[in-house]
Amino acid sequence: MRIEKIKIENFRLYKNVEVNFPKSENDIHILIGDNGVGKTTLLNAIIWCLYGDEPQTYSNDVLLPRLNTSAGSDSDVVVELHVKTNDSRIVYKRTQIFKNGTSRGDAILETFVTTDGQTERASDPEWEVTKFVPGPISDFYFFDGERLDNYFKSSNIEHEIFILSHIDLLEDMEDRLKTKYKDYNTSATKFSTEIEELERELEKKEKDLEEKNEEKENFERQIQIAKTRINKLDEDLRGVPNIKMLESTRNSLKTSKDKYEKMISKKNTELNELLIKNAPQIFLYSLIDDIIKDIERKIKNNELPTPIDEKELEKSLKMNLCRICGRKLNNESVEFIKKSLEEYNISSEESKILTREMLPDLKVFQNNVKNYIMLKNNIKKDFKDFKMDLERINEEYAENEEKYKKYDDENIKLKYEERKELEDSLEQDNQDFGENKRAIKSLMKKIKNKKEELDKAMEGNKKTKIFNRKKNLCTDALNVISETKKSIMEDTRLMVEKDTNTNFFNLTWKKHTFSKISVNKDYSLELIHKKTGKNAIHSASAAEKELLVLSFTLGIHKISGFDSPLLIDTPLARVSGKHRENFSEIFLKVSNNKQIILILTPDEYSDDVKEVFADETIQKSIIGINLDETESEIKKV
Amino acid sequence: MDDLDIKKKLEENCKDDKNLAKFLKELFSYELEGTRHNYKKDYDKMIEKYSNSGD
Repeated sequence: MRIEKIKIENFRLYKNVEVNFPKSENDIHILIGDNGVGKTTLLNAIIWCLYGDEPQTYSNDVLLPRLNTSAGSDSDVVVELHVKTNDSRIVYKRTQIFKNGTSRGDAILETFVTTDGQTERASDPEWEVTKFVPGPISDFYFFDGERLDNYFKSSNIEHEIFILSHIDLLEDMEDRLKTKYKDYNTSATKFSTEIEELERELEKKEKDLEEKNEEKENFERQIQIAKTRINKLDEDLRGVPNIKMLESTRNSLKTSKDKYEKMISKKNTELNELLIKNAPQIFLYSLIDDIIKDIERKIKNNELPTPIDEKELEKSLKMNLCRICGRKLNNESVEFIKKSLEEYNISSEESKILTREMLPDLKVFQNNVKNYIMLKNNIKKDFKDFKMDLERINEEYAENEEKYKKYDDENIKLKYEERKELEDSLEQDNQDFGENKRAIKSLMKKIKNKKEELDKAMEGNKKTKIFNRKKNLCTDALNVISETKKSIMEDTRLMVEKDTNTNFFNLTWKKHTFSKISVNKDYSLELIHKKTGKNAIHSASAAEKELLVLSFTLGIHKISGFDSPLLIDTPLARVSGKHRENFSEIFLKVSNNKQIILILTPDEYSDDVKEVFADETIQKSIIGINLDETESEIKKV
Repeated sequence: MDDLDIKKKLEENCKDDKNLAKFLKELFSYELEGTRHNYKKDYDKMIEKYSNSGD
């Protein structure tokens, strides 16, 4: 691959520049320019075109605007890189649009590929760039000459070697497999933790059930023993009354007897009190009854005067008016009323006493006596009932006493006591046994549920097995990747070391000072002195060191598989005297197989160097700047 | 070292495990393609495929 042309419009100092790089016998191209005329800008224009950024710092430390200051404010910045491959031509074109001097959006890369006379715009322009020089390794192709000098100051290029060897891809695989492994592990652990937890719970419940079943057996045994013993006692005590019971019955009957005797006594007292209270009325009852009958007979036979309303009559006389018809009373009527009132006063006083005062009182007495009889009868009835109950209790008591006296034996009492205790204990055992059975039933239900949960989790466990299988695959793959990485790194290192040695000893002007170059695992370089057999890198000249790094860089080019051009800005600045000539000859040699573009200062382009590149077929160009330092141009010499 | 060399290395390091070798070569080709939309999903598919055919 080689660069055929660079075309720049409005990029910083370059307003409109086109540089061609025609192929000649030696594919080397020299550009010469003073500091500040645009040497680094040229390098940056290429890098910006390909990768969209400008990593190289500018020597004057002033970052000029990307849009050329003398271009119109609505101009576009465009850099084109024309590249030739074995079978095609590729144009990389990056454009940044400006409006009123301000960038509108990101710079856009377009790639046009011409094959067999047919040009096509690439659908993935960045991908086309990676076919030329992938971004991560571009530092090995387009760089400032300082890199040659600074390699020993910052030699950590392992990452770049990783990219060159595709180890970065293996590392991506590793990272992703590790992530997947973690995911599977989390999922697998989740299921297995759940199973462990369920198994623990189930085990505990089964142990509880076992204990409850043991308890159950104990209860059954105890109940059976108690029942057997009760049966035996019942056999011994068959026909034998329970003395304790008899004692208890005796006490109970005695209590009842006392109670009834007290109640009878109380009824006697009540009867006496009732009799005393009602005695006068009882003795006079017959007389009162006769008087009532006599009064009622008189009333019935109208032997008593008709009761009149004397007050009304008196009012009529006073008002001289009849209170019934409302007519005025005449003398005759007045006389009649007066006479009636006199007669009434004489005859009705007796009648009044009999009917209004005596008769009601007598009837109260009569009723009291009737109530007394009823109360007396009630008391007598209760008395009779209590007496009967007391007689019955006395009979029972006597009967109980007879039995008690007959079986009053300590042994019998003890057996009854034992039986009672056994019955109490049996009752308690039966209660506990019932609780035990309920607990067993509950536990069995819980165990059943737990087993169902476990079955479900075991279904998950099948997934765990799948996850584990995936984990194992990841682990195996990670081991192989790790081994492969090591192996590739070692192979790469050996290849780089071999190529570096070949390049160095092919190019060096000192053929007998050094025996070999070692590329260490961290890609630090050692230049082994022939005589001492030790690393002589620190005593090597700047030119020797730069040659070493150049040899190494060319070795990297080879293992990278990208046979792309080498473009170096100020490659000889740190080399002086005779070594500049030597180094120039080296570039010339390298250019037999690879396109080399060197951007030199006039100081670097010394007479000795000029002589080396004197061949007319070697293209030389001058980078110049106008008087007001706003625009640079590149002209062929 | 080109892609084929790396695939060969991976295969060598798998020894006789052909399934693992196939799996790794497929993963490597996938990474080489560089068009990764959902690597987790894509990796899942490949792992699923090769973890089932390994026994």
